[in-house]
Amino acid sequence: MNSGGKRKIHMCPETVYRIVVRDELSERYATAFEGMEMETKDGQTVLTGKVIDQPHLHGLLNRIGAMGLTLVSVECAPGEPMGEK
Amino acid sequence: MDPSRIIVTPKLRAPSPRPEQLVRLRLLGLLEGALDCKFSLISAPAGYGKTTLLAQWRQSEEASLRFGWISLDEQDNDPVRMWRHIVEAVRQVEPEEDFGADAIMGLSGVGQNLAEITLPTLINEFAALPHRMVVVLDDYQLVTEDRCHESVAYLLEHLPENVLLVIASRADPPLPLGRLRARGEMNEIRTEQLAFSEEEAACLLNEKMRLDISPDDLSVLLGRTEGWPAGLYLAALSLRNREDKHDFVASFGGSDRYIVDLLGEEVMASLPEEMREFLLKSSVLRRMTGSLCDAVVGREGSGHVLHELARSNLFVVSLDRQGEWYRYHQLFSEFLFYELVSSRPDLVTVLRARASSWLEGMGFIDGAVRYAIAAGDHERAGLLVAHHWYSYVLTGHTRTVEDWLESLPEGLTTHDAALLLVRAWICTLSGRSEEGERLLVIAESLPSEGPLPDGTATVEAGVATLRAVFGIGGVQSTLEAARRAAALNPGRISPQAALISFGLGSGLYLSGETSAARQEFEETLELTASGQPLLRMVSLSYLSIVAADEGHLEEAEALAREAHALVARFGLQVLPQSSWAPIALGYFLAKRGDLAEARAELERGLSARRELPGLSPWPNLIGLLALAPVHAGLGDQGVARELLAEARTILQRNPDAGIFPELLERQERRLRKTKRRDGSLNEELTERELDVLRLLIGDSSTRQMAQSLYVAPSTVRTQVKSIYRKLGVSSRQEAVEEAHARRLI
Repeated sequence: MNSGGKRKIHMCPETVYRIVVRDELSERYATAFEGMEMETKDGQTVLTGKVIDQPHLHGLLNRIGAMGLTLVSVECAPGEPMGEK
Repeated sequence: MDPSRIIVTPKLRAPSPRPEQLVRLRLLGLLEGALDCKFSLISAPAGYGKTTLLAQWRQSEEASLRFGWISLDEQDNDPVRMWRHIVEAVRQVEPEEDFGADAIMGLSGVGQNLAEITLPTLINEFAALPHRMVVVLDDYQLVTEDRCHESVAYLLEHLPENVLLVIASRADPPLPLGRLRARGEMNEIRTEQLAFSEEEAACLLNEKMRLDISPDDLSVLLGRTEGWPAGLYLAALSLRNREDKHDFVASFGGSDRYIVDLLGEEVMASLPEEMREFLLKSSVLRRMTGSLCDAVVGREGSGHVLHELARSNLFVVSLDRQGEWYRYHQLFSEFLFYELVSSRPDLVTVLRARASSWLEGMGFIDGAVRYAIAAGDHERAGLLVAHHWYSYVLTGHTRTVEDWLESLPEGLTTHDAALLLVRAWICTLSGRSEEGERLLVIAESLPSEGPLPDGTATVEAGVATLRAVFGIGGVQSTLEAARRAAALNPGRISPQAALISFGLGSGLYLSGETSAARQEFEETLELTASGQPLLRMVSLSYLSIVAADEGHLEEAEALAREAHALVARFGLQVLPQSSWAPIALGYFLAKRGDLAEARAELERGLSARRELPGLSPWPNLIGLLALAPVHAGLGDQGVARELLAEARTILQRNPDAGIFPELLERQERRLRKTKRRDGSLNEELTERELDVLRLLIGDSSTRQMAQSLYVAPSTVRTQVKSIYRKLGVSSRQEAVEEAHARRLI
C-alpha cells in the first residue's frame, strides 16, 4: 500500500473501525491508541473502536507509522454497512 | 532576556554521525548517484536509519559540498516558518550573513506572495551562490500543509544547477514524484535499499559489536527483523547482556511480538533499578540535559548518566558537540513513555510540571510553556506567556507567541486582559490593525487592576502604549495616547518605558515637533542599548530621518546603517517593520542626492509595506513623500505623480495626519510647476547664485557661506532670496531638492 500524504479511505461516519497491524503489541501501548480496544491474536494486533472523524482516523494511522508497525488492513467493522457518503 | 535562548539552532545543524553507527558503504554508494540528480528522496518508515545515512553522507562530502540541514518539526507545518528555517539553515553554512535577506523580507505577512516574490527571489539567491549546496529536509512527513508542498514543488521545478534538494520522509511526499522519476531527475532510496543486508548485519553484530553470532543465528535475526535497522540495533543491545545468545535468538525469532516492545523489555530488564527509574522518568522530555534530568527525575549527577548512556547505548543521541544535550531515539522514547504511562500514570503530570519549572528558571520560555500545557496547567502557561511575550516579539519571533496563544484554551485567551493585549500586539504587528483594535476594546472593558505579568502598570497603560507605538487612530490621538501612557507609567522603571518614549517621539515627529521628537528617540535608544532589537531598529530609523531633516547627513547615514545591521543580526526581515531600515536609508540617500540608490532603498521598503494595507500608514507616507521627488529628479514625473496619488489616498483614509497634508500639498504644487515649465527655468541662475546654491547643500550657516565666498552675509541673504524666487521654492530644503531635480549642480 503506497503511503501518500492523504490516504483515500472511504469514511463511514461515526462508525466502528477495525485496524489490523502486524506483530503483537503489549498492554503498555494501549494508551497510544486511546479510545480503541486492543487485542492480540496470531501475530497481529487488532484495534477496534469508534472513529470520530477523518482527523481521528489519520491520527491513528500516523501513530502506527510512527512506531514502524506494518499496517495490514483498515475496514469498517464487519456487519456495519458502508455509509452512503 | 538573552535572545540566543530563543533561537533553536540544533534543528538547523546536521547531526554528527556517531562512531558506534555502522557506515554502510553500499548506501553511501547509492547516494553518490544523488550528486547527479537535482532531487533525492529517502523514503522509509521510522527506524530505518535515514537520518544516520544522511549525516554520514554529509560528513563524507563536507570538504566539497555545503549542506543546509533542517530537522523539521510540527511547527514547520507552516510555509512562513518552514522557509524562514530553510534560509537560516543555509545561513549556518554560508559565511555571507545576508543570504535570503531580501527574500524573507515581510514574509510573515500573509504568505500569499510566497510564489510570486519570495520563492523567485530566494531561487535567484541560491543560483548566485558560488558553489554547490545541498538542502536537506529531514522528517518531511511532519509537513502536511498544502501550501508547504506547493512551495517545495515550485522550488523543485525551478531549482538552480548548483542546488540539490534531499528529502527524508516516512511517507512519500505529495510532490510530482512521477514526473521527476520519468525525467530522470530523481534519485530514490527506499525501504528495500535501507534494510540491512546479510553482510551489513554480520558487520554490525560481529565486527562492530563483537557478539560472535553464528551465520544461522544471523539469518534468524535478519529474517525476523526483515533487516529493520532499529530492530537489529535493539537485538544487538539485548544480546550484549546475554550469555545464552543462541537461545535468545531462537526465542526472538519465534516471537510474534512488536520488536521494540519485546526488545525494549529486554534492555530494561538488564539494567539496575536506578537506571530504569531514570529512563522512565526522563521519557517525558523531548530533549535532555544533566540538570534538567536532575530536576525531573529527582536526583543528582544526571549529566554523567546521560554521558554513559550515550556512550554505551545507541538509543541516546547527542544533540550538540559539547555533549550537553541529548534525546532518546524516537522509538525507544515512545516505549519508555508508554511504559511510564501504564505503570505510573500519576507521575506524568508531575514530571512535566517539574520540567516546565526548570525550563522557566533557565529562561527557556518556549519549552516552559509547552510543558506547562502538556501538564495541563493552563493558568501557569498563560502567565508565562503574558510575562515573557515581549522579548520574543522584539526579536522577531511573533510566530512562537502565536503558537503559544493557540495552544491555550480559548476561555483564557478571550477573557484575560493581559493575554488580550498580547494578541492585540501580534495582530497589529502583522498588519491586522482592525482586529487588534477590537481586542484592545475588549481588554479595556474587562475588570482588572494592578500591574500585568510583564510589568506594565495597568491594562489602561498597556492599551495606551500600543496605540501610541503604532500611531493608531491618527497623529493627534497618537500623541494623546503616548502622553497618557507616560502619565500611567511614571519613571523609567517600567519595561515599557522604551516603548512609551518611542510613542512620544513618533507622535511629536508626526506633529512637526522635530527637536522634541529627537529627545524622545534618543531616550529610546538609551533604554534599548542592551535589548529590544525590533524597537531599537525602528527608533534608529526614525532618528535617522530626523537627522536627515535637520541636515545632519553623516549622523543620518550612521543611524540608518546601524538599523540595517540590527535587521540582519536578529533576522528581523520576516517582520514587515523591518521596512523602516531601507526607508530611512533611502530617505538619507535622497537628501544627499544619490537618487538611484535612494530609489532602490525606498522602493524596497515601500513594496514590503504595500503587501499589508493594515500596517501603520506613517512610514508609508514618509517613504512616498521622499520617493516622489527622487523619481522627479530622475526624470520620471509620471511615477512621481502616481506616488503622490498613493499618498493622497492614504491621507483620505487617515484625516488626522499631522505634518503630511502640508508636505503632500507642497510636493503636488512643485510637480505641477515642473509640468508647466517643462524643465527649463524662466530665469537662469547667475554664476554667483550657483555658488551659493552649492553651499546650501550641507550644514553651512549664512555667515559661514559668506566667509567661504568672501562676501557680506547680507549679500548671501539677497542671493538666497533670488535663488528661491527663480526656483519657485520657499525653503533651503526645497531649494536643494529643486537643484537636484533640475541637475543644476
